[in-house]
Amino acid sequence: MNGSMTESTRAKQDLRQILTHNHVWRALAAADIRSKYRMSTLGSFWITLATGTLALSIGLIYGQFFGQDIHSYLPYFTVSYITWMFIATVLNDCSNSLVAAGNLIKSSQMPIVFHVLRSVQRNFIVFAHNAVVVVLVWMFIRWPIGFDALLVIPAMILLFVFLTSTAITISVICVRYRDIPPLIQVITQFLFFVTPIIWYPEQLRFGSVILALNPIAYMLMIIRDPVLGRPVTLETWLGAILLTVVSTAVAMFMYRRFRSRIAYWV
Amino acid sequence: MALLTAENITVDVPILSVRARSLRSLALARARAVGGQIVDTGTNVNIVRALDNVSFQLKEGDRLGLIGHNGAGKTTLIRVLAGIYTPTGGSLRVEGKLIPMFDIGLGFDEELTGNENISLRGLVMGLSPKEIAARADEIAAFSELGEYLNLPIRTYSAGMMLRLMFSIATCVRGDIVLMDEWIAVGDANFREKAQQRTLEIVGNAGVLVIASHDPDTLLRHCNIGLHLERGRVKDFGPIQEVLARAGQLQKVRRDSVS
Repeated sequence: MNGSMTESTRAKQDLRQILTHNHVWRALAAADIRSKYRMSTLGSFWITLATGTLALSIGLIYGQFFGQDIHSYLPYFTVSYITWMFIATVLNDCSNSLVAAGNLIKSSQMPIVFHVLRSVQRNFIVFAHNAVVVVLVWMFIRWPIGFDALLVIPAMILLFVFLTSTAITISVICVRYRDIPPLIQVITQFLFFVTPIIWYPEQLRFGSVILALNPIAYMLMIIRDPVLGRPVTLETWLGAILLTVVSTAVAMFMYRRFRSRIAYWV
Repeated sequence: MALLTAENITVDVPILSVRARSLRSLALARARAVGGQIVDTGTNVNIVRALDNVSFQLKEGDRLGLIGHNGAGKTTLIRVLAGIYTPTGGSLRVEGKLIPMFDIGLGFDEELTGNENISLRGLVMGLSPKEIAARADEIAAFSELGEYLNLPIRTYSAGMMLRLMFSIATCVRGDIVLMDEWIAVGDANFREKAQQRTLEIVGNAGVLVIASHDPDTLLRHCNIGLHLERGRVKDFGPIQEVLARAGQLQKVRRDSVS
């Protein structure tokens, strides 16, 4: 800290450090995972095992109810499910990220936003472990993957930015108002049913407006569809980009406006 | 050249009751207020003025001791200096690298090994991986924990934990060092090393600020004293005089005589 720094500059500096000092929040997240699985046999690959078992059970059984071919439903559900888990756990975890980091916030000079990024990155590491299940499923089913699948990389970047921004906004609000976490849980539960995870968007006959208005549907589809070789419409891409831009703008506003209050609220 | 200038620092702390922290209660309160009746919904936020117009300047070589009863504002002030609390009024100007030494066990994870915790703590303190690697040997040597550093710290005794924490926490050097109730550490053997290291830090720092209840510590390390009472500066000057006026000096003399 040099000279006299205004709060707005402080907040901007914090946000810039997300990129310049990314090793900090990434290493902290990795340490969290290592710590959690230290005492276990398979270590963090328990995550992969657990998800794999669930994906297999539901994929093989539910497909039958929908009259869907297992060869298409199993991969569809697996990819949708692991992407959904990433999104849902970030949304639920972020409501507690800053509150849980209270001691660190009041005793260290670590940029406050890093506590949120640590949580998002932790969930990303879990997502990466779960992605192994997709590879295993592909080895059995071998659905065609073209170069279009590379679109999943920019899609992941968009998703990460979108989730980080949303997490920052939610965690700032949750430091001040402590009765929000149960509300987030209810919202995520609701979102699970109105997002095409266990059902195909083509199956929807009435109420396609819920697809158009569901932000999670956009973010989910840009990740899942390239991997499965399903086409992604331009509207979906534009929607996802717009959502990311808007959520980032809101997050930056919230952080700059309320950063100085967080230490008093926590 | 002033390294630290505090001008009219005022801090208003919101005291948030459970009701005030509830969005639902707040929304209901607003809805009820439309009727015009004044009802105490319990959602009001009380504000405590923790610091009131605190001003002082510290230059190179100054060692400031913060004195005051519990709740006088010592911890609040020292956190304002660290940039953790943003003052609601006034300004703060800081030149140079500032090292806050508040929580000795900050960021520690029980399941991870001593070495892993050294990295973790280094990251929390804002060191780069290179800086951490450079200091790792020094920390390991100072703590004298040897092979234990490869074991998870939940296997450590309290004394070993303190050794590790102290070694890591004191491995950084800065222009301005802030200490909040820095505790005495470890067994008699280690305590001497710890004292020596504390003196080193104090000696190397351009400016030192210590908040402490122990007049002995303050007399040993500080040259200036600031006496806070209810968030206001009650006294400021050479440490001996400030302690004497605060009625603390007799305590030291009494203890050392008996």
